[in-house]
Amino acid sequence: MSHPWRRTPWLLPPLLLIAGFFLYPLYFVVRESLTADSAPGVTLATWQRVLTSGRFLDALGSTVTISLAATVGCVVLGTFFATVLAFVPFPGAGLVTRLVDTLLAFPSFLIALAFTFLYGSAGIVNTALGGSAVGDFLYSPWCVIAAEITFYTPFVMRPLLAAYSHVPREQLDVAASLGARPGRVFARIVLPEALPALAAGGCLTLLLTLNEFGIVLFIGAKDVTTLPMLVHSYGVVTFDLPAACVVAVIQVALSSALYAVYRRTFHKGR
Amino acid sequence: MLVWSRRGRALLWTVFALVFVPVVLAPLAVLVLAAVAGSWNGVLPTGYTTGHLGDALAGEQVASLSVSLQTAFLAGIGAVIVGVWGALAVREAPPAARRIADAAMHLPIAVPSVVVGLGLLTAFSRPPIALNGTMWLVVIAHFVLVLAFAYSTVSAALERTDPAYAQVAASLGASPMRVLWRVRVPMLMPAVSAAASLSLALSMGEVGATIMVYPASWRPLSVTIFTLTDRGKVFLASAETVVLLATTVVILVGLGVATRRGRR
Amino acid sequence: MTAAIGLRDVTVHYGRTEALSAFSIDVAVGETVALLGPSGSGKSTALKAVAGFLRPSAGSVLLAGRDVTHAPPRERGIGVVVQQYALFPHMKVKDNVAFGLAAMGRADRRARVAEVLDLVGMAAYAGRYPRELSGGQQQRVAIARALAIRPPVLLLDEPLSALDASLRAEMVGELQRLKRELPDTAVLYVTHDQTEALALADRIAVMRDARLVDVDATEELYHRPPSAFTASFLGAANLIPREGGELLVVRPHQVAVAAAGTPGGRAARVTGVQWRGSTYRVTCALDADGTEVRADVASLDGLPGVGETATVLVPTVGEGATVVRV
Ligand SMILES: Nc1ncnc2c1ncn2[C@@H]1O[C@H](COP(=O)(O)OP(=O)(O)O)[C@@H](O)[C@H]1O
Ligand SMILES: [Mg+2]
Repeated sequence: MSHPWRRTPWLLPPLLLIAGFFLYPLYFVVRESLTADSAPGVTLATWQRVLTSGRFLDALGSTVTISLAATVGCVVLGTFFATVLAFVPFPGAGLVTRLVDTLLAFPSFLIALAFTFLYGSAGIVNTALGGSAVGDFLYSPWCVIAAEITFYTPFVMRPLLAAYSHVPREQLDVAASLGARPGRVFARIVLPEALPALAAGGCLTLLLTLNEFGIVLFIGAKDVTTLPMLVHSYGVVTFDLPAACVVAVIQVALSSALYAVYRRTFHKGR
Repeated sequence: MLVWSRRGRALLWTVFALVFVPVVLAPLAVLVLAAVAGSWNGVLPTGYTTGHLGDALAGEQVASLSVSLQTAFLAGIGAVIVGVWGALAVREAPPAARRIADAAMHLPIAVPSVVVGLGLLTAFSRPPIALNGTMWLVVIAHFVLVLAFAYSTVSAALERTDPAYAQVAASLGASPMRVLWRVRVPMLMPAVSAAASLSLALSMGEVGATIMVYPASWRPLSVTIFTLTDRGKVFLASAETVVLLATTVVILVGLGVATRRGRR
Repeated sequence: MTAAIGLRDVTVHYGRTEALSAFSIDVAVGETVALLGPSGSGKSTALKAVAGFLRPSAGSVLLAGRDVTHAPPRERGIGVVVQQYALFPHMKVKDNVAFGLAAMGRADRRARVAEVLDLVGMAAYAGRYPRELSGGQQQRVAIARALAIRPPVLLLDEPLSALDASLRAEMVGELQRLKRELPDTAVLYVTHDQTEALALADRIAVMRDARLVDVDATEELYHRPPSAFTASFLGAANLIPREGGELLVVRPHQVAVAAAGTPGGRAARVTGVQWRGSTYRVTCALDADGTEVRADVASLDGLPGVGETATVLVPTVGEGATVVRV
């Protein structure tokens, strides 16, 4: 209130913890990425090896496509769900909203686990439809996308429902009384109000799906490798620490760039 | 109301149900079914048993649950304290410092948990601080990952709080410490409780960083569930997941009730 | 005698916006001064400068002659009641009121809490939480909390704005009684409502766009407003242009309306009639220059209707009208 700069030292303890447990380790990741077993000292050998490997390029490609596809799915589904829950509520809509909120706190791997029962070779869908109706769906990128859509749709719905709660109901009623059809009311009144929230939710979902690990790990499809999976397998499966660090640095660059855009766009007021 | 005609509404609700049930509801239901399934050869389980749930609460598994709880507790307490401290300090800081500090506190949200784990593994596996093979690496990883969420929750609540409360308290002669303890922190309690719940839930389900840093002597439930899945013991894994969710929900409800009591 | 509150050329900036511009005012011991002005004119900012909730970029704040410009709020010993009351939601009424009495012994504190709650008529509600009280009751508790520390200076920021009209009238009466019971307390009363200011203030300071426009004793300011802005803001006066760039200030109740052609008046046309319970407000446009003139009349008998021509009878300077420069 009165002496702002005199209060700044209070910032030190939390910032030191962030520095010690987050930035300092990241520094080591960068440093480790510049080493190689083959050559002593600082070297770009590992970078060269990883960047030119097919495995890395595949992982980069599938990470980006999976997360883009999942985000689009989440935005479409989330908008539909939130709109129905907010503006065409049915008995029990409140309960559904609460269930969706709870889902946010659940671990993502539970969806992957459930998918193995639903879409596995001896899963429910195959049994119900007879034979191998869904084929190798469980081990395809489509399954990862579907699982991510299931898990991350609530992340789009929550900000959207919050934004919807600011749309005055009377406005919708008046628009309807003036003869506007539901589609027009939605496009002209509801959507403009919700667009910033939708963009924010979509951006956050894109970030989270880029970083998603649990779902891919649990489904365990051999052909679907994402960057976080690659970090894991280099790091603790084949113990190629420098290579793991190279992938990690690239992933961090990608994610932080996206996060920076997200903050610039949606946290201006802060 | 957006859709006025009866037919339109019925149609919309049907579509909602047709999408919502398989996409959101079915996975949850299937998981619970699997936890109590004796054998599962048809569309629905052919027999039911409490055996998996029993196994999930015995021996190695229950030890793992206890590890998860202790980790979540330690990391959660730490994150809530540091998060509240950080939110209050950021709020008081001058605008320039405020922007930078706020971004720094949020930063771990942007980075995948696997990378957080990898970083801790590389940085603390060597002198001066060698923590590899200890539980502390797991606790620290969870602390870093949930701190940003705890901070975010508290700082959003602080942003919404009218500065008039603290100002009036000060004008009544209270020292900054007294204003903090008697007015600002008590008024933040709902947000603190929410931050604690979120931290706990996230920590209980964390896999990415955990799988990078856990030692054999400190294996949280999420990793155990993965190991079971990997070995094909999917029914036990489901039962274990249900136990994890149930434990989390029980603690969250308890926290909520305690907060409401405290406010009365 | 030294003033209880003194503001000397106080200027306050929020970033680039100047919310208070070289503002000066004195409030004597036992005096009530109302800061009156439209929303956004800087009234709350002036009050916060006195309370120490913000720091002026220039000028100084004096309390009983002591310079407190750089003192934190807790060293000022001022009672403050803010717009939404800011009662601590997690404390009962008695704990809210006792908050400023930490230095007192237990028994003294309890006695003082009982005393001030009695003063505002809230003794029966000591054990309640703020959310269990109505708006008017919360307001009384907020005043009790501020008065508990026996402040020589009481600051009230639109204390009645959150209440509905009938309760507001009742609370004005309450505040008048409180003022009589605290003859030595200097009160700075912020409001945008002229009736509150007229009823409560010894002096009124009219503000506009971060500046002080006029300040004078309440009656004087009402009857002889020195500026056009004060005249129209205080009492909704008609401002009728005269020769020499002057404006004639006439209150609506001083204006009469008569049939067209009545001698001694000005030709006009009736543009509207509003029934206001005890009187009718007749609005006319003068033929000469189109100036709108509002008249409060007891009856419409014999008066022209809307759209018809009429005569407006305005008192001259000798008969109760005053004059301001444009
Ligand atoms: N915290 C603030 N930040 C920026 N501008 C403010 C702030 N508080 C007030 N202002 C601006 O300062 C001016 C005066 O505000 P205020 O003193 O609250 O007016 P009043 O109380 O007369 O309605 C207004 O233009 C307002 O927009
Ligand atoms: Mg104000």
